[in-house]
Amino acid sequence: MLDESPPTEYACAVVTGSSDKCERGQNDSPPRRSVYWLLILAFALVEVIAHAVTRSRVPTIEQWRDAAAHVRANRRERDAIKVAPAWADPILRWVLGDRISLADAGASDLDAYQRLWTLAIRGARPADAPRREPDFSRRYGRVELLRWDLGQSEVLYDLVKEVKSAEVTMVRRGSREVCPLLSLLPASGGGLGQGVLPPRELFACDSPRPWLWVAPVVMENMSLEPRYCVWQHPAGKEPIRVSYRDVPLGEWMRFYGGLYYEHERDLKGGPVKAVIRIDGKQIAEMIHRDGDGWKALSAPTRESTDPRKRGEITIEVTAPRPHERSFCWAASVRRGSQTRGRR
Amino acid sequence: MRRDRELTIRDHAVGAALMLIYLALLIATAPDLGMSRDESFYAIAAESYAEWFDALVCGRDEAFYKEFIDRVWRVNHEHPPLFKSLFSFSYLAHRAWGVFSHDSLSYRFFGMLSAGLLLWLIYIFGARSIGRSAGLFASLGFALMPRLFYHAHLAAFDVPIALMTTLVIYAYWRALTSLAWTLLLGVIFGMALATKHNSWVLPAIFAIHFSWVTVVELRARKNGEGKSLGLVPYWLISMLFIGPAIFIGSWPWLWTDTWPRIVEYVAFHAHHVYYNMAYFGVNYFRPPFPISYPWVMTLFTVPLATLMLCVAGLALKLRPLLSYLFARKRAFSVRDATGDPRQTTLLFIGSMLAPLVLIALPSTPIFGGTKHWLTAYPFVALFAGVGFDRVSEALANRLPKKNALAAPLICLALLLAPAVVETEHSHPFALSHYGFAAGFVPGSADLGMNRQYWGYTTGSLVDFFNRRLHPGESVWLCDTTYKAWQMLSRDGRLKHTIRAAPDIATADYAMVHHEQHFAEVDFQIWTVYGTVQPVYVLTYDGVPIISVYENPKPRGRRSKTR
Repeated sequence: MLDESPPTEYACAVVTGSSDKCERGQNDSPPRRSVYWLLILAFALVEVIAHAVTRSRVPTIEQWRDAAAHVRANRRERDAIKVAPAWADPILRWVLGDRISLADAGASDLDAYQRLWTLAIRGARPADAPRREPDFSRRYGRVELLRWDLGQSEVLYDLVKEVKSAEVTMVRRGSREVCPLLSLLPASGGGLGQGVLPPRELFACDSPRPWLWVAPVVMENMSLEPRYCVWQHPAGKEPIRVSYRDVPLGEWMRFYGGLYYEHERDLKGGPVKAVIRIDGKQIAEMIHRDGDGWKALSAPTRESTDPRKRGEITIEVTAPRPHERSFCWAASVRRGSQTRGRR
Repeated sequence: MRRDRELTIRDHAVGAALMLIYLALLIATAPDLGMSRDESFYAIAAESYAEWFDALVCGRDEAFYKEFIDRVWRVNHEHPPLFKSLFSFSYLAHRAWGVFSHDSLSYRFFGMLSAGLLLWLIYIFGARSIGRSAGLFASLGFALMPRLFYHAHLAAFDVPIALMTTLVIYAYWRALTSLAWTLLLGVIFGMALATKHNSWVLPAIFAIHFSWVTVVELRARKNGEGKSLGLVPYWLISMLFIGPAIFIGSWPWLWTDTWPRIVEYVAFHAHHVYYNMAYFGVNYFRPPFPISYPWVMTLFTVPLATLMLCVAGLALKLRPLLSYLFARKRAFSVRDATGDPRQTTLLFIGSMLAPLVLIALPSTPIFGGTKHWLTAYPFVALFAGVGFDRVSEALANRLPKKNALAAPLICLALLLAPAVVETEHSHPFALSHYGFAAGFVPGSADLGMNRQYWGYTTGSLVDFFNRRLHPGESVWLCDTTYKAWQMLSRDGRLKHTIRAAPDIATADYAMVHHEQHFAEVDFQIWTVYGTVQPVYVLTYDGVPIISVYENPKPRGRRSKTR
């Protein structure tokens, strides 16, 4: 009539004809099976102990500071400083932020650096650290200090760092207008959804359209990461140009471009085109479409074999629909091979 | 579940004690919590409504003029009035007689009281439907959920609506066998409607449940078993007629332009804007949202021992029903198989799952974190009470007979220990708190879970600001509202000489509340201040909560903006 092993309450109902007559204890499992229920008690203890252990493993600020002191004493030019996991970045900048520039914090890659220092906790490693054992490691309590030697940097010229020495122009109805470098009062506002705040010193291109300026900033990209880059919002189909005269051309250029997170994430904006020219000749172009994120390209920068050759590099940005096309780019000229890795 | 037993005055004494102890605990710990964004909006609304109550009590005719009603009740009219009105009563009482130790408490009191009342109700509901020990454990297990403990402090609606929905469910359950409760049900449902829109879902839960009850009852009668319930849905009539009348009657905003304003209110919530929420490293800001969200967040934030007991209790209570449904031959009806004509287990399951399922829908906004399904947790706790009873019995079976009575006490202590430890440690960072399943707070940061929202953690920085800032210096507030900042001063926690600044550039200090999508604010500050170095980072278990930056520009020259 019934399942071979009916549930106890049901069995009780069958025996008595009504479950109302089932009293507490009458439907207990046999004692030998009750031991499994006690595992929940044991688990509760495990939960309490795990909580205490997790808390005891949190590094103290002194341990962070001790590791930072070592970096501060031994840091050289072209040393990068990172933290792992990335969520601890505010703590790194708290203890060592005086040794981290905006360019360091928003670097697109590690190619400009010759050594990588990392303060690590919980066994984490930076995503862009070499996939090998560090060349130096020391432990300060719960904080690991690691260093990888990356080798000679191939970066010859950083276009973001040097942007203030560039000439910025805007083409309006076919004629070229210079955007003057101005020193302004600090920007007002700030906060969620406001995007990039302009720095005090910038090339201002068109005062009725106050977003048409050029300057180095730190922008939140599609991955919500900081990018130290040149803000160069397009004006429309006619370009805004940034030109660097008499700069080393090296052998190739790495170029990154992207938009401010909130302007890209809805995937509703039009494309942005960035054209790279050397001595007036186009060597590469990037079409950035929403969803591309922080996009990269590499392009050779010289035709002759003379590594000391210098010339003019121009970056020009256009967009057929320029509304909320907050384009920002980072680029550097490098020597060596595009394909040869340092790691 | 067993047929409900009659309770005695002692049961209500236990419930009242639970309420009073919890209320005292909430009042004692409330000053640690800065006011959250939403609370500050409700505080502004309460002050506005207080003007109307003032006019009403003083007998001024303007209380019934449309212009006056509209001006006063337009504030925050996207949420119904019941608890904001209660907040305004306590605010008025405090203004007149100074009854509370802090100004913020005068807004928060009724939120806290509703948390205490909910513990009482859970105990009573559990004691009636399962047993006293299960009810007691359920009440305590609910009180000691870290996120619940935080929300229980607030002048907001999330805990009040958990109280009201649980009370409506209790009233419905009683109404299945009582005419008096049928009438009360309509009144309570009206109060729930006047609390928050979560209550809209209740008739649907009851309709499904009652359909099942009807099927079970009809089959039992067909089998020759006696009548145990009436099958006319008087409860529905009561909810349909009394509920809306109380909803509209309690909300002066709806006294004119009633239908358009109801439509506007419904539309606001049916098409709510989407805010950001981090989940496993992804910042979700538009649908589709992950279906797993409420389930994983429940797993990550409710003490795991409590959840395990809930699952165990659920399995125990489902066994008779499932065995009946899958039995090859059935000698009895399901009514007798479960021993419960009201099918309480099914009601509890529906009440527990409905809020979670609704949030799991890919189109439902998830920005509220766990607060949007707090209404499920009383039933999580009640099933945990069932599991608790079973573990107690198992331990009693293993103990010598003379010590068997100690089993419930040992179990209570051990099974609540994780909840006690985690809740104590979560304060005042409960929205940043995660439990065992997430690897606790650092583990949740590794997983890329939301760190916080509402900007309330500024309350944990007042000592820093009081120590560091000179008179007249200012702070840019990031996610904290001006009203919430003001409340820190009104409560005497923050020096009155410290100001709020509207711009990052003109502020002497700027804060960033660390949420994934707030990264841009960090970068704005870096660009404007020219440094990436904060002067202080507030952490919780080593995880950054707020960074504070100092404007490097010399003091006295920060006031001009472009």
